[in-house]
Amino acid sequence: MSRVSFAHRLEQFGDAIALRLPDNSTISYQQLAKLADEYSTTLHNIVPDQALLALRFSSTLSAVVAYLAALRSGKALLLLAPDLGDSQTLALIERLQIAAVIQASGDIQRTGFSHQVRSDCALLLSTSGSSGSPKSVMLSLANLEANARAICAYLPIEATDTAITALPLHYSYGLSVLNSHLFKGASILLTEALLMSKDFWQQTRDFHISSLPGVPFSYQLYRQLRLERMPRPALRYLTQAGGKLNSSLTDYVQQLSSTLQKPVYLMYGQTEATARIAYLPPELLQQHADCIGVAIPEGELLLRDPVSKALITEDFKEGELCYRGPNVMLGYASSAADLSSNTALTELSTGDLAERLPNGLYRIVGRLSRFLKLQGKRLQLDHLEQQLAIFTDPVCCAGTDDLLVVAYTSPSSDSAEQLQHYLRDQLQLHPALFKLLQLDTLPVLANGKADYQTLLKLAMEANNAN
Amino acid sequence: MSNELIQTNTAKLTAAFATALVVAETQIHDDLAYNSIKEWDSTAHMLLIAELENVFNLMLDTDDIIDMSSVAKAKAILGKYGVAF
Repeated sequence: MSRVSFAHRLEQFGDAIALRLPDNSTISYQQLAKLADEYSTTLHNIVPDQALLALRFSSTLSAVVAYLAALRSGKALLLLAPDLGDSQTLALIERLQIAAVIQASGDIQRTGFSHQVRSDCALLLSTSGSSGSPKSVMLSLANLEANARAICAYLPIEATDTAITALPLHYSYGLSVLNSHLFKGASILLTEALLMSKDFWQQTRDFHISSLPGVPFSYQLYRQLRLERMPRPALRYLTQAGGKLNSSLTDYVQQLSSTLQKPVYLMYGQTEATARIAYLPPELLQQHADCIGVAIPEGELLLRDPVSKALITEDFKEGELCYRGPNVMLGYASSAADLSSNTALTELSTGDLAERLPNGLYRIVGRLSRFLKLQGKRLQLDHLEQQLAIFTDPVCCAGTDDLLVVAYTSPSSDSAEQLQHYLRDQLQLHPALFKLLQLDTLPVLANGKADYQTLLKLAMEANNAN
Repeated sequence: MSNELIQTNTAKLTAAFATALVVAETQIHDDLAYNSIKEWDSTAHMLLIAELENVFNLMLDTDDIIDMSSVAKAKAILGKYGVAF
């Protein structure tokens, strides 16, 4: 029987280098397997079987060892942002009855909880990046294996490559870079250097980094840094995911690809599908950058009528984008009870509206559910309204992937301050990314529901007036 | 270089930092460093570079952008482009 996942097959790559560290030390696949198994023993002695663990997943050796140990020994693991605040961590521990929290250093803190997790659940990822939302995606080893396999089939990853942790590992896209390179027997440099720092760019040169990933915000940084002028001979290709590029960034990516003479892969995905769902073959970048492209290997895209759910077969007819494939999650978990459910999803409804072109490419044309992607962070607007209503009520959220709009009626300066404080400190949004609007009344439609379109228009006018 | 010009440049620099980081001008001092306060994160850094390029009407080299790790460093780098402090 073939070993169930890349995490179980580390040994097969023997002395090949799996991990590189900024101090130039290296960890071979054989060594990594041994470190993971030693750590598994520790976990086994401290944590009850089938209980849920959480890991503060920094881009460090000890955290990667803990991650692989959990996968290899069948311990369900929730990935946390390394800097997730104490109150948010505590809320998650109680809500999901997490039995122990593994610090980035590898130290294990027991909590006293011990709730049984379904045996096929290997990993839990948050749906909203760093905001610590209790809604998590349950993934199986088969999900992780299938998505890594598909990524290795469409991206030109080679065993001699070295990737870099340009994105956080607790984020599905960042994690998929690690998983796919381990799948292939390639290397990854574990760096905590920031994308905008000198260290990071020196490392991309000194470690001969072969690919760079990026969310739309990363490409804004690449543009500002004028990546096209940076000599990086080892760099073979770039990837982009985590939200649609706006038109000026699309122009930049096309220009970057042709200036560097290197392929850029525009990719579409969701944490609910482990990471990747579709990609645009890079030879189509100049012509079809407005499309998400085709399904990844082993996957299938389909369109359904948003109301009747009937399959749409005509070209250019808008419908909800749905996806089938071995990387579709087991289900969501918002509470401990969900962790012992036995749901199995066969088809994922993405919440995005799309159409299919006659050449078989899919194009996103809108969104059914109300969420924004600000710098790769997914914000569910209805959920955000509930959270903000604590400070001021009524409050209404709308926006685009460039700007969150929060409208409220209270004339008190306290309300504005509390909103500002929450958005900036709790959600870590730069003030340039949101607009607070104090209105006499919030716009409503004839049916009494919030009129988000008008709100958006008011915000754009106010922004332009400034 | 006249004192007035230096004063003007310092005021412009302080204003650019305050705008990009969204903090009070009184918080801007030479020792302030990238990533040392939560307001000076990657987003703010990107806005800061755009603001500095705009205010001083110049285009920074990539190496200078990633080297701009503190207010003092920003002054030294801008000096290379003929902006006196």
